Amino acid sequence: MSIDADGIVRQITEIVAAELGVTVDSLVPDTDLRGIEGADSVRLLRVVAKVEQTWDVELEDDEVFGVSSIADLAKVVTAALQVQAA
Amino acid sequence: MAADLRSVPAGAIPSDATAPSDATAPSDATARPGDGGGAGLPASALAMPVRSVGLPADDLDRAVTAFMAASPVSRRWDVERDFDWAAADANRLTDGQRSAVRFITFIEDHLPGYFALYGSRFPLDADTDVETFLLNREIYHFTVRWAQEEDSHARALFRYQVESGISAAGPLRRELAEEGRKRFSLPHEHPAALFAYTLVQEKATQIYYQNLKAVVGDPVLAEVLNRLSRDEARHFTFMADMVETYLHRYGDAVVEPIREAIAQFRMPLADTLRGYWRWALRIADTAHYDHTEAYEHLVRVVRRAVDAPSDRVDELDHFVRACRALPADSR
Repeated sequence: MSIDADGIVRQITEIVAAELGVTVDSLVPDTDLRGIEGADSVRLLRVVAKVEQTWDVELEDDEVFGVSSIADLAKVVTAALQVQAA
Repeated sequence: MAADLRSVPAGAIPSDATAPSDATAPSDATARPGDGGGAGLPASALAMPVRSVGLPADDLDRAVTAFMAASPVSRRWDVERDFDWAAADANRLTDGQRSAVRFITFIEDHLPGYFALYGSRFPLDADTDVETFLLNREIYHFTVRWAQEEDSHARALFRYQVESGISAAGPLRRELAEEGRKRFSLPHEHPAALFAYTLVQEKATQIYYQNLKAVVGDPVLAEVLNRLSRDEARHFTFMADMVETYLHRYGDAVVEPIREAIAQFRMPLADTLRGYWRWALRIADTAHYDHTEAYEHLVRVVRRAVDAPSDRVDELDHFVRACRALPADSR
């Protein structure tokens, strides 16, 4: 199964924008999630929960608490999908 | 990374907003917290001894006395007499509500960890100098009563789980012990931050219990939650008194530690309970609960305590408003 890494980044960007009330245009893959105004830990975990739901994956706690940007989150999702596909 | 998703970002507050060490204390500040009179010394001259509550004994006594006065014996409740346990029935609850009861039992049952933290932060032992002991002894009057009440919460929820059929006593006791033995810690160095954290925690818990009570179908559980939320409201009031007292005494210098208490806020057991965060989100949704509501109560306390809000207070306000502006339950 081929994994569309760019597509994952794009979809996560849309999820972050929707969950944190910012525009997609204001986000780039390297955006520090913790730097988004009003994005406290609970809201960021809601982002992760939505991401898990979207791709039907369950990320490890260490991975969840290790990500700081959209690109980081996309990487762990991609890795989880690869494991799932193997 | 050091500051992970378990802790909240500083976000709206610039990192250079740290309080200067020479911030001026209110004019009625005292030279030694254990004494009564005022000398108008700068806050830097009132450096807080490590492991001391760092407030005048008279102020502590006033806060503790107010708490005790709000908790007369005639208004206390107990697990054995005040609930119709025979009527408890978990079949009246949804799966989400049963899960919420299990979750809050873990949280309340971790009391030994919370109590130990206060004991180590404000010690009362032979290694403690008299001045520090004198102050810590005052706060202990509250801590020990607070612990007694929180222990009743743990017992009430345990009893509810058993009587309603959620769990058998033996396995539940073991399950709680496995989590309960894990060490509880908080990152806050400044005592004002510790009390601000607990203020948010007490208010968040109060709001959660009220919201859960509003949706549960078992009247026995509703009554348990009612009792618990009223206790948490009194605990919140005490914590608010403490935070106000720090602000009166140390002024702007404690706004930064208070802000950190919000910026780093996370519910107890976030670091120890496996799968905590997914469970926490689910049970928040079960009770239509928005944790940031509690932040706003802290800001109200800060604004009430300061005559002329400074930039730091405005930044704290702005930070909380940014958190509050987002959708509470955006699944």
